[in-house]
Amino acid sequence: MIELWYTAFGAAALPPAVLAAHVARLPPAWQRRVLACRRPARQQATLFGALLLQHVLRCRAHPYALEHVLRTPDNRPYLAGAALDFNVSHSGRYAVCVLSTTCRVGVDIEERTRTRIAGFQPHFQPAEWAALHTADPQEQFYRLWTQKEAVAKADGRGLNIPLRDIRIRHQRANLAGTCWHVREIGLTEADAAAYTLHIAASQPEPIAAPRQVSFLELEVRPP
Amino acid sequence: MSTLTEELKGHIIQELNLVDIHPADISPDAPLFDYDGLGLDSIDALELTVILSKYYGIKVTDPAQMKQAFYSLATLAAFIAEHQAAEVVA
Repeated sequence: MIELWYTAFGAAALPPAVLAAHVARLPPAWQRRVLACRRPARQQATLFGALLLQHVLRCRAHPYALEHVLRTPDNRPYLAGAALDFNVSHSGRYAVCVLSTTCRVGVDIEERTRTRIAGFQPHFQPAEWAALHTADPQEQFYRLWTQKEAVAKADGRGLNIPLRDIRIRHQRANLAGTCWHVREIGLTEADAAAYTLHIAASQPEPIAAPRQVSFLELEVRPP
Repeated sequence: MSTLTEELKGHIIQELNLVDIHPADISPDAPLFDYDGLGLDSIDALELTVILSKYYGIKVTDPAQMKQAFYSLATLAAFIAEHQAAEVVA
C-alpha cells in the first residue's frame, strides 16, 4: 500500500516569531536548510515540507526520524537501512509526502500557474506534444509534467534525466527499459482545477485515500 | 558586474515572474536552483531554456546537459558569452 499525506498551509506568511519557533523544532541541518531560503514563499513551503515529513516519519517510521534522513549525491532524501521509501513535494499552498514500505515512490504536485507553454516544445516527444494539444493544453502540460517529474524523483536522478527520455503511456512510464506506474491523485475537489499531482511507483501497489495532516497535528499555530 | 549579467537578471525576474525578488537580491555566484540561492524549481529550468532561445538564439533541448551553465547567474552569463563569441568567429 502506498500512502499519501498532505498539509495545506495557506498563502499568508507566518509571522517571523512563529516561523522561528517552528524552525527551532527541526533538526539543526533542516533548520539551516529552511533559514537559508531567500524567497519567503519558498522558505514557508520548505518549512511545511519538513514539518510534514517529520510528522509522517514519527507516525510511520519509528524509530527513524527526520534527523536520520540522508541525501544521495543527486539530492534525493532517504533513510539508510529503513524498509520504507518516501518522497516530498510542495507547490502553492500544499506540501505532500508519499510513503511506501513495499516499493520505490516519487511524487510531484504543481499549482497550474503557467499559461505560456509554447517554448517548452523541445523538451517533449513529438507525439507527447501533439497529444498535449488535443484538449486543454495547460492542463495537459501539467499532467504530463507531473508524471515525468514524479518518475524522475522516484528514480532519484531528478532533473539530471533528460525529460524526453521519460515516455508516458497509459499510466505507465518507461525510462531506459524500467517501467514505472504513474497515477493522478486529487487532493480536494476545491483545488482540483488549480493543482495537478502524480505519484510514480516501482510496483502497481494500491494507493490509500489521501490523508490530510492538520495544523493541530503539526503543532502549528495558524497565522 | 557585467552588462550581460544585469540583463539576464532582468529576463529571469520578468520571465519567471519572480515577484518577490529584487535584482539586487540576486548574487551572480549564488546557486540558481539550490534552496540557499534563488530556489528555482524544475519548470523554471524549462523557462531558462526559453530565455536562452528567445533573447540569445541558443537552442537547448536537454536541461540535464545544462547543469554547469545553470549553476549560477555568472555561469549562465559565461555560457551565453562563449556561445556568442563562437558565433562571431564562425
